[in-house]
Amino acid sequence: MKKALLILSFFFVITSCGEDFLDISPAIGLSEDKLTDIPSMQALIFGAYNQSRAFVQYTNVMSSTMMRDAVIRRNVNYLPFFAHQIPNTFTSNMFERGYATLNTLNTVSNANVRDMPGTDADKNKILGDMHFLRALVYFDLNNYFTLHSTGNSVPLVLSPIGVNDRLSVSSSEEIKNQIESDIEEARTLLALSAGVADYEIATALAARIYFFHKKYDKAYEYANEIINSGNYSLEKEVTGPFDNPAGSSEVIFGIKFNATEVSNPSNINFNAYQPVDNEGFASLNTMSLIATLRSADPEDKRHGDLYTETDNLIYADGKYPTDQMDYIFIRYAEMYLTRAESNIMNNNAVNDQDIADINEIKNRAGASGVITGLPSAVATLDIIFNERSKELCFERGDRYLNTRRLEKDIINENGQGGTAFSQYADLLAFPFPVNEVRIHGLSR
Amino acid sequence: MIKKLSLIGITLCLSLSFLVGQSVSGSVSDQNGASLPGVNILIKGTSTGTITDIDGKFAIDLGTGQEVLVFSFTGFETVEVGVDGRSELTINMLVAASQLNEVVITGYGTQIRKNLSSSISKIDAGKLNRVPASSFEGALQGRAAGVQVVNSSAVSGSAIKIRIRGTSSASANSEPLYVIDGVVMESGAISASNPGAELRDFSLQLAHNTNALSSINPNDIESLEVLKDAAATAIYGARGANGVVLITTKKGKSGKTKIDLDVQTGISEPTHKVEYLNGKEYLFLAQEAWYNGGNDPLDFWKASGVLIDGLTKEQALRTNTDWVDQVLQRGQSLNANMSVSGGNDRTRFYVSGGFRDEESIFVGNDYRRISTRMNIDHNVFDNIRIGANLMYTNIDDKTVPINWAGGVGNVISNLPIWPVYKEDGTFFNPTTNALASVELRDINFKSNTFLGSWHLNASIVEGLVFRSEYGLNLLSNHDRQYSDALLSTEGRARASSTIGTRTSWNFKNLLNYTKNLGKHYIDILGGVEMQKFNRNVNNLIGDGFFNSTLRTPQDAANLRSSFGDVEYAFLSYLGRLNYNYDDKYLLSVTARRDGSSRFGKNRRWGFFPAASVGYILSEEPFFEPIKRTVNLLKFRASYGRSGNAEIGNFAYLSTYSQSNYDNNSGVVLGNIGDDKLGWETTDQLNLGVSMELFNGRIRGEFDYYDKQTSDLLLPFPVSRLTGVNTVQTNLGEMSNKGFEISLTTTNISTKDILWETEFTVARNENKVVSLGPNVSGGIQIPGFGTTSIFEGHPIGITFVPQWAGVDPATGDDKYLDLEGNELLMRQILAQFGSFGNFATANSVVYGEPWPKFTGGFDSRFAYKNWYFDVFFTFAQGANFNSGELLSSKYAFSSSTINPHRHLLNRWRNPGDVTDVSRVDKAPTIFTRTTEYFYDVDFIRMKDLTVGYSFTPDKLFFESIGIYAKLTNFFTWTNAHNSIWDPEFVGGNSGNLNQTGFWRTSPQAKSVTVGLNVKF
Repeated sequence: MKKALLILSFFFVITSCGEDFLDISPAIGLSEDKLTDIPSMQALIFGAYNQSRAFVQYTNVMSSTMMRDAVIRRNVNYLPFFAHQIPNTFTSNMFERGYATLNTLNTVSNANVRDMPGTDADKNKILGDMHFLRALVYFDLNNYFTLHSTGNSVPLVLSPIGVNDRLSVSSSEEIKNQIESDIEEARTLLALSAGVADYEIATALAARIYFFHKKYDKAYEYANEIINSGNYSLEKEVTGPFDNPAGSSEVIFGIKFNATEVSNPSNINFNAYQPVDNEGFASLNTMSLIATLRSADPEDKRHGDLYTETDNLIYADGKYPTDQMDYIFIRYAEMYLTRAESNIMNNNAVNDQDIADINEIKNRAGASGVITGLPSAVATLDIIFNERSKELCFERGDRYLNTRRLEKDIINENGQGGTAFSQYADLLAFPFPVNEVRIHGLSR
Repeated sequence: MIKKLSLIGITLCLSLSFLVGQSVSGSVSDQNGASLPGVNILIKGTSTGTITDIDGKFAIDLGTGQEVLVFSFTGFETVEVGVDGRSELTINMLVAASQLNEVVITGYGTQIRKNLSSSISKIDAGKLNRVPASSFEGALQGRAAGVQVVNSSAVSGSAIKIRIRGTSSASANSEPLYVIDGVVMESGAISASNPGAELRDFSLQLAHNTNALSSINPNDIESLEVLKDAAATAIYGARGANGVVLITTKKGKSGKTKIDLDVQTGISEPTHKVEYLNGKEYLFLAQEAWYNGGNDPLDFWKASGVLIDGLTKEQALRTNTDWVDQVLQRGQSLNANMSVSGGNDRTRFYVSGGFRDEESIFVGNDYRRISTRMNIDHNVFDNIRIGANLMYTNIDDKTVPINWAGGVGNVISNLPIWPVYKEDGTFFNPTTNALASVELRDINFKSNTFLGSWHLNASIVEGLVFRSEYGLNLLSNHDRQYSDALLSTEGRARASSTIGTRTSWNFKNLLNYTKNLGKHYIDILGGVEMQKFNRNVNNLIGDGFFNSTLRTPQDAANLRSSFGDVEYAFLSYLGRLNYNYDDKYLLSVTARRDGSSRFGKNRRWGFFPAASVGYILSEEPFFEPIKRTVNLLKFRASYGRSGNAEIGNFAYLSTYSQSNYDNNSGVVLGNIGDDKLGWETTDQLNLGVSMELFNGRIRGEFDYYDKQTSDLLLPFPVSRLTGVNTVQTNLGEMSNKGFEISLTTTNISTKDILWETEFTVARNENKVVSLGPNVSGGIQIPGFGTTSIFEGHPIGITFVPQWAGVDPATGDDKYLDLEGNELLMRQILAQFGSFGNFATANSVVYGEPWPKFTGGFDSRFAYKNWYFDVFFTFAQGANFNSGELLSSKYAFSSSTINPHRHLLNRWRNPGDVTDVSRVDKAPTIFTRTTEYFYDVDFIRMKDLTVGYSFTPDKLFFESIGIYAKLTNFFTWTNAHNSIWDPEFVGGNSGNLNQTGFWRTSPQAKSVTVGLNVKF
């Protein structure tokens, strides 16, 4: 019995093995409580830039299809965009990725960056990038999720929210105010210390923001500032910026390609437009405004050099020659067109600089109809609309934003006639994800 | 660790000191060599006696003149043995006629079936190997009542999905716990990589992987025990809720060395071939759709998009490719196994080797397995036994895509008017060419698995046994993939290499005390177990090769790498008391306390108790008059709790994960943790009756169960404004209720003829009872698809709009809104803007994700040297939402699809009454609706074997047997022709999204002949 007791005691010694046996921490990843210093804040900023790639990746294909510049040959995900029956799937992704990026930025915004040990230079660039990217994300969310008839948009979230928080939608105007406040703050901070973005990038984005917010004085001021900075120039060839976005003097801001990740905007766009019938799925709608302008001026290099034409199809592949390139977000050419149009809007008249700006773009493309003299403001605005359409089509939704800004018609599905702005304005508002409606009761 | 090892050493020393005493000792086993615990041993003519311990060992002191021992045990023939001066005896007891007295392996012990008050199914080796499967768990189908088996595909060695008594989880792993000779083995896919994502090839994400359990050679298995009710599974605590499958491998037996050689070879074909349109039919329908879409018929060839990759109209008109035949083939297999076993009264061994080579029905699939095993045990002293079970297996699996990525799954994307090859001999349209996607890819999974356990058994004093066991499972795998440049739309070849290792060990120490006190029998078990699991993965991706002979990532233009490292641990205390009084009243109480690193700090420990009672009415004196007819009548009841800890490893922590930008280190929120996160808890009531009639000629078991699972683990959808989509949380309740019947009859048993039948049937009803106070209605899990969880409905249900048939006037589909109004598409668009909006507002909960009835019927007939076995399985009550039919419907619009032949029944003229709407060029409404649901009931002849065995007179063979078998040969089903196989509809996915799948694949039927020689 004694021996048995010995065994029993052994048995219980073993059983008293400490509970620390169960203390296992993840070998990979950072726990929440470590986000207290400047390097962590900087890492969040880089994380947010990474997230922004997935946020912007579908915008171009969705918007070009909604504008009916592109036709979808065979892709069940994009076809409803052409029919203006906007589905939840991809638009939910955009919503989700936008807010994921915002959550990262708001984590930085909410942390007391100013009180952390570190240099002012580091703090300025971290906060500058935070404001810059937050403006960028809200700008697109607001553009695509605002319901025109009510003016309501996405919820405005400026700090990380918990799973039990409930929010409601904000008005588009509130969002616009926030975007403008963020981009101004970004300009101020990035002027002191450049981060991923710098003062000029923020200024160029500000020019775009104010332009589409129809605040043409500011749009003019900032576009003018960029052009006068002398830091950028148009490439000689229209294909120049697209052949090497990372090294182009024309590219003001590009979202970096990342070979190690799946979500690259260039991958989505290359695959959509590539000039192989059974591999790509989107091509130029031959009834579209772009196609009409193309037929009218075949010598324009923006038509000859940026499209591939076969027996049946015209592929809009020139701006995405590879799946492994930076995603061009702001191109210098846009600044000329923005400056010219803003100036005309401000003055309700045309001056030489405006014409020079337009001709700068036309001449580079070798387009016909270089403007001489001073046409009327109305005529010049029409010219600019066409130039902007030609120059910036199939780039991150510029055509969509511009068409809506000017409340222009969109060509009908069958190519005959157009749909008035009042008829499509609400149809093109991206639906909220079903779960957001369910959880927050979001309603525009 | 050093501390623990030194303690083991101390134990060994202590144990050695027990080798004292002058008793007659020995062991008692059944005719198969399995130890018999609890055998009564009496010195003849006295009332002095003992019983055997957990390992069938005994020791007894003899008085002067006491020479004869009487061994008795319920269900076995009583044995009287003269000691004749020997100090050690080896006793073999023969089973009496009744099979209810078989020894059943329970968790951490054994029990006689008669005295069992819990619910355990046993499948012995003979039945297990009837169906030639690469992995043993497939053999549970139709054998063990209440066990649903779904083969994920006919790809060699692919995973098998098993649900015991329904699924008791929402999103956590619902596979049972597999315990092989006491060692927990991780099931599921071997491959640690997600090859698709890493190769940026979405389609490959759905590629299957090699099943870890296929490392076990089915020929080495002696028996499978399936623990079903809480009384049986609670001893596995936080890991028992999905049921437990105990695998016992073959052991050597004392006596002559036996050699068993078994060789079989077979050929296989698909069980069914889906019928698609031929070239002529396709063109006819495509042109009709083109015209219906308002297009000019003259533009068809130019503008419809059917002519691609340089194909001319003339070539298309003369081409009629049967793509199914391109990717399916006649498979063949060779399976050879040899074992040598034997031993003496001190040492027993079993050594085996197996070789399996299989080319499956899928072109390009080639699987090879080499498996070895050595089981040995040795009596160091009379009361100390040591042993080890060691297994090593090597698998070399050249596999092929069968789903979206290509092969048979891609058949639908290839038109019959397209050739396989161009005139220059290269693949036509390689990116979607079903054969190119197989031939231009190399996928090779190689793995080495070692599974070992070492044990020490020491009888301390009479009835008290100490057992210490260390188990180790090592798995290393190397997955290579290469995808040719022609397959990618970007025109670059990619390669991936994934090297993974898994190490898991468990160390357990058990004390077992058994004692007979008059009519009282007690069996007490106590123990502690530690387990740790670690997995590392290194992955390298190469993107872009300038020459097609370069196929390893290292040679690529771009190189990407990733690394994974996870670890988890369990610390457990367990105890059990089995008690019976007078072999009549049975009681079993079990408890386990489990701690796991997987649970939130505030819920680290769980307690899992269970109890069962049994009453053997037939042992009552008043039963005596009918006992010759009703040999056994036992009532059983159990209630208890077990858990499911398959909740991921660090889900309770909020973590930030790497998210780099432009070569700068970045992080983003990866997971929002819930520090109260814990296991799913399943409480289960089981009521059962066991009976045996007419001297065991009829044997039956009936069980009713009611399982309630609470704290379901769900990826609960949270607002995306939080930065994540879902948070892992415990929420809600689910129930599974059902019954199981198994009935075995010996219809004829004479000297020359034996005819036995066995029938099992089970019914289960799964229902989500509640989703907690904060959720009304249901949850839709984010992501593609229509997966939903709704209160009052089974898990895995879909949420889809209702289809109301085809309008005979226009040929358009009609849909029902929630008020029951029939709406045509144009009305829907006018009212709702898009079909998506309509679907959001008017979807209903629909579908039957799980079969109501499952079971099997087996009949075995033997006449002299001949035998004939036939085995059927069936399932009834599930239905399936065919993605192929949904694709077919839009074959001519947004996707280029070769539709299923049922499209030939389309609406054509006003007044036509049909259930297939008119073909059109109109854009797709790529949304699942109730239109695509079909029943998938089936009865299948799983096995038919005819064999002849004889013992040659003059040769040294013990027996020679030859046999032929048909597997899956006949199937009766109401499944739609577009469904490849009614038995396989969903693949090895989880519990969600059960009713709808795209791109499935056929099962195989086979003819096998074999030779079995015993020496």
